[in-house]
Amino acid sequence: MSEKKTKKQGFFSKMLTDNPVFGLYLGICSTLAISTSINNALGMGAGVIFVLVLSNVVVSLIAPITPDDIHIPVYIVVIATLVTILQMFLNAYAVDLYTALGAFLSLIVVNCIILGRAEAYACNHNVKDSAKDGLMMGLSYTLSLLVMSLIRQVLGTGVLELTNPFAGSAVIFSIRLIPEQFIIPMFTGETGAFFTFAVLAALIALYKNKLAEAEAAAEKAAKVAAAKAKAAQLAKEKAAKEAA
Amino acid sequence: MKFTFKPSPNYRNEQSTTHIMHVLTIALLCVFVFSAAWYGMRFSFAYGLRVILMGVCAVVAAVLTEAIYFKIMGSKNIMKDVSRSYGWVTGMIIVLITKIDVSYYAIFVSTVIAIVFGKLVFGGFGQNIFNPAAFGEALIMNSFGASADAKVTSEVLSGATPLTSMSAQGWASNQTVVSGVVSDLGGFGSMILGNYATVIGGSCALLLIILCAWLIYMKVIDPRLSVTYFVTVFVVSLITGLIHGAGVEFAIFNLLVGGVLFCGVFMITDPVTTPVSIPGKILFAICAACLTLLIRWKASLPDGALFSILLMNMLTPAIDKLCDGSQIKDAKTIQRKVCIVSAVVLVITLLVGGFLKNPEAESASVANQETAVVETVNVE
Amino acid sequence: MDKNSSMYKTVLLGVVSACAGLLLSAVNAVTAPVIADNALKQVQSTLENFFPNGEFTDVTDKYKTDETELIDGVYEAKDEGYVFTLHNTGYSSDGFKFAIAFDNDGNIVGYEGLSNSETAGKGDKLFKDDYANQVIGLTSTDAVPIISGATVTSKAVSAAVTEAESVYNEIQGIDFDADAAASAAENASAKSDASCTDNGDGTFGCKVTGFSGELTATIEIKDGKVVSVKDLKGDDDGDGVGDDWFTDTSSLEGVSSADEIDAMTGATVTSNAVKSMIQAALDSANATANACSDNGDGTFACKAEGFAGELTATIEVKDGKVASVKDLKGDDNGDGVGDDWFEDASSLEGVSSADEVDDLSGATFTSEAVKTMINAALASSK
Repeated sequence: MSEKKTKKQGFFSKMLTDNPVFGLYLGICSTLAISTSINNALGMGAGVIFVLVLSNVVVSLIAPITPDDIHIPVYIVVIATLVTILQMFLNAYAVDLYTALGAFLSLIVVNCIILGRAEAYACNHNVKDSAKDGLMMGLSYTLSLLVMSLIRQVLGTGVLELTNPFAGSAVIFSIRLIPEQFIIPMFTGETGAFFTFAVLAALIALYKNKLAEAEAAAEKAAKVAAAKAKAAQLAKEKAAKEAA
Repeated sequence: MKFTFKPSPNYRNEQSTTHIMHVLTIALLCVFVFSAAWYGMRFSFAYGLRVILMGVCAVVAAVLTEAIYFKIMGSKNIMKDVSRSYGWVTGMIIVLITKIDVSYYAIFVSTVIAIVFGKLVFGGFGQNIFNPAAFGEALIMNSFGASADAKVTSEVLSGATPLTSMSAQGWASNQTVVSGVVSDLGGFGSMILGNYATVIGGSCALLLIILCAWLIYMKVIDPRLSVTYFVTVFVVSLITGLIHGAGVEFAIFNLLVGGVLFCGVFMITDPVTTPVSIPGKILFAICAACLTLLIRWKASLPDGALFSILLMNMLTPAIDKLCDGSQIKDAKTIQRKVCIVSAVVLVITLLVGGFLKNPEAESASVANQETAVVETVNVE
Repeated sequence: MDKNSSMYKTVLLGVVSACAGLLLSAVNAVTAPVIADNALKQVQSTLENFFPNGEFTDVTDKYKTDETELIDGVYEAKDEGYVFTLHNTGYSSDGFKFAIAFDNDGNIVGYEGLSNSETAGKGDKLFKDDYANQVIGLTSTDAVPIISGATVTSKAVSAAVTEAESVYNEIQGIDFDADAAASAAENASAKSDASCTDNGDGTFGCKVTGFSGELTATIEIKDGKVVSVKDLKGDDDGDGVGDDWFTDTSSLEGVSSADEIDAMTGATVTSNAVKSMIQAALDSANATANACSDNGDGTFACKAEGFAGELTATIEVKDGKVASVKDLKGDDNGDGVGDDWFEDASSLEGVSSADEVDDLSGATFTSEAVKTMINAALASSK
């Protein structure tokens, strides 16, 4: 039971500390620009997951046969193809999302997360692991994007709104959390983006530090316990010897 | 920004920080009282009260934010830490450079954000890069324009301010234009006494001048910064005015109008965000003055003083680096560097000023569009 | 094959790119029609306004060329006609969009503004129903009318419409000289450049851009008719063209509308200029005459077009002089210009003619409106 618990905690904890946006500071420009509403966040996140997983799979397949000096152009072709396919599908079936994401959809190609993971992980691991890694990274990117958008949208417009991009922006739900005279419009703009990012990054850093401290403390405690156990063991042996 | 570099002779250590901040607070209170009285007498008691309430709101916001901050940081004596952090000065200045129609909510939120992101995030009092009050006011102008109390705006701020009148003329300052605007405001006499409603603290030029003198006498602010700032503004607008034909009037106008006086007394003299060395300070003041005039003349922003200070705050570390070195041995080199930079900045400003144009003289199509309507009164 | 040989690398790159290309064209084949459909759907509602129940196909790619940069889209309504969506930049740099529809017989059957940020009350008139009704019914070789006071926007709309007409006429095989249409539009705009100042005594000092310079004249209007045209001068460039107007203006007397004036052959521009001056004077007189309604108790409810809207006031006239001006309001758009009139109208009291009113510097248009009202009130009281 306790093993399961730590594993679960590890999952979320990993999401926070290995977070590509707040932990590794990758893919920041699209985060800052897109996180104005949870619609955009979900849309972008889904797009990134799609591209990330597939590109990781393809890269892990062709990495063995790709010589080192041309690996960048090859990977970029793969990523660019996937992004273009995504663009075409969105343009056809989810036009509003397509217009909302605008240029940042094509910029997924140069999103550091994708190429970064392809180079750092996918080329060295098998397909299954690469896919899983892509999924994890994509999910934590989406999560970060969601959190930022939540904050920015609620503070900046006061409304929490979700629409269905595949059904012509039919509203799924729309709740006004803050009355209109009390919104802070700054948060939907660039200033708000940077502020929110800074605060969230600081919080993640705080969490990481706390984790590191806890780990260090745990290690220390473990060492002490081990030393104690050893001492007890020695004492036991001594006693046994004496008895003999 | 923490600098361990101390120039000598050391001017500021004559007074303790606490004493300086307390005298500053008193000076700000004077401006407050005067403004409240002025709004109260000019419009109605309610507005005088509003000025005071806005001040209270900002001060409460500032102090509360800092108290919470210190609590989170685990301070042992919150009261002492807050009183050493002088947040209320920021709050008061924010209100004094805001217009009276800003909503209380806007003031509260902007003060909180200004204190948190303008001061605390950098490490608290003495560590900030930007002047937090200017930062807060920029936030208000950027974000909270829509939340202005419309009733107050229409009653108090519907008249043309000197800045808008002049900017309608494109700041092209021939004699008639300047005289026209000045006489519209009741002549320089009433401009000095503050005859128009702009920002709350800008109502009375005379009071600010007196306070400036007093603060210099009390050795609370560095005269080099203030005086250089005022003199540069005056001289540059004098030369520009002469190019266009207006001369002294234009210079006095630029000095009295907008936030120049208030910023010159209270904001540019903030020792934390301005360069440490003396030549650095002079350079800072000259550049700030030129930027103020450039922004005022060419940009469509309401006033240049505020933004010029924020921009120069960014350059303070660079200026400090430029003027780095033993202040006595390397004096000549440092002075030469400062002179070169000042000369460049001044020349640019004068060139821009020389080419200011009156917008009515420009596009004929604009005139056509509008005169055609007036002359043929369409009964469509 | 050795992995590091350049042959291998070339082949690998080629194969990867080829696969990518194949995949992309496959996806494109699936999605392209859907995308086109979507684009069509977005303009669908506009298209249906013009041809309800029409069958539309997007033929933009077929007809749009590099020279027709103002055209956004061309749609063919089967057996019915064509719709063009156009854009241009007028007075506001944000630009505007509108749609125009032609039937298959060379007539304009639809005109609708889609989006614009032109000046309210001036440029945006081009996108309202009144103007649309003026455009619908014209043929595909006509220039669209220019609205006076919105010259810049009108010219922009006209340029876009000319482009649409060029393409349409090419499709239908109609002869169309785009340049002639453009100059017709120019001439029409010259017509609206006349401006008159009310001298207060029934005469108007008018000026207008003529063929080689500015024409000026003093035109007297009574009861909605031209009584006399004096001091007509300006276009004396010695070329002899249009000079007949300067020697004898009696043909202009008794005219109650510029349409009654015969243009002088060979002097079209000068004639148009003279006509527009006459029309402007007549319009001013008309406006002054109608600006005030008599309340019966010595006061008049007056109105006139100000800078950003209509100004209204109640003007009391006693013994041929203005006794008071009350409730002056209208132009309070908060720009502070002209507001002195609203705060203190006492400078208007005792005035017996609009000439005695001093213009407010920087508030020319508002001042003119106030003067018009004063004149009208004084005239009505006689």
